[in-house]
Amino acid sequence: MLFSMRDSRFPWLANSGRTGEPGQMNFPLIGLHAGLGELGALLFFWAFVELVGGQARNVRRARLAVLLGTLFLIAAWLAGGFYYVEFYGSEVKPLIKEGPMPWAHGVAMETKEHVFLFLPFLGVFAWGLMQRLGHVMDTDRQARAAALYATGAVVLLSGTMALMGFLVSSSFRAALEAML
Amino acid sequence: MRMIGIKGYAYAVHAVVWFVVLSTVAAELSPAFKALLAGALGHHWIAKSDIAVVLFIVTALFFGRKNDPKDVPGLVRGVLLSVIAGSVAIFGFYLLHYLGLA
Repeated sequence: MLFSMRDSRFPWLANSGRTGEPGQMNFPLIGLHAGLGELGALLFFWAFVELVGGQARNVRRARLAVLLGTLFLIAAWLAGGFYYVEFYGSEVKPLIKEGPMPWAHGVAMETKEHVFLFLPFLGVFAWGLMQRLGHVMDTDRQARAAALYATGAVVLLSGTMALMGFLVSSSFRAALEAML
Repeated sequence: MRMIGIKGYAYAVHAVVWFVVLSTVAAELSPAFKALLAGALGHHWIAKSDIAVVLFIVTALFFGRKNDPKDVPGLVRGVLLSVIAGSVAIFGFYLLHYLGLA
């Protein structure tokens, strides 16, 4: 690997002490992952609302929102993936598995880390729809319905990811509390 | 440059979804396969992610020349059905796996 986040050159990315030590901010990357993902979802929701409006100017804004939303989802994928590979498996997973909510890793995290992979591609698919059919969406109800389905699905799937992320974070906190 | 048709994107999402589902289940059931993925790119999840990107691009380009269908909402519903079925399959598999039934 080119560099590690545990590398002293990047102390602001790394956990500076024992995992979960009181008073320490653990893993800023997970906040970045969640923030980027939520912004991505919000942009797709914006696109969905614009598409409901259905005027040409709405569709123009929806196209921009879908493009930005897809980029945010890709950024969330990179941030979350980096965190997952560098920290989660070695420092968080063992604690969750030993804690009071081990299913949060076994079911929620395992599902999240794989189903999340669908999201950026679904975003690109929605962007492809907007590129291909955006110019007729103000008059063609079928084309607009297709874009509404796609953007709505990204919003719902992103919400499901956020819920699973909440479960995993809660299970980590519960594991830390059990250690006190 | 010709834009990629909607079918290209749709088939690419189908391909990625079912690749992720099958490779995930296979990696959990076969440690050798998981090790192969990890050995190739350092981590099984990175390997799946990278292969998914390549698969998406190749499939989209391969089918991108097809004409757009008349029933675009139907095509999108098919994609969403694939995503929902793939998500349920992964969740169901890990639930059974956690319970020791898979």
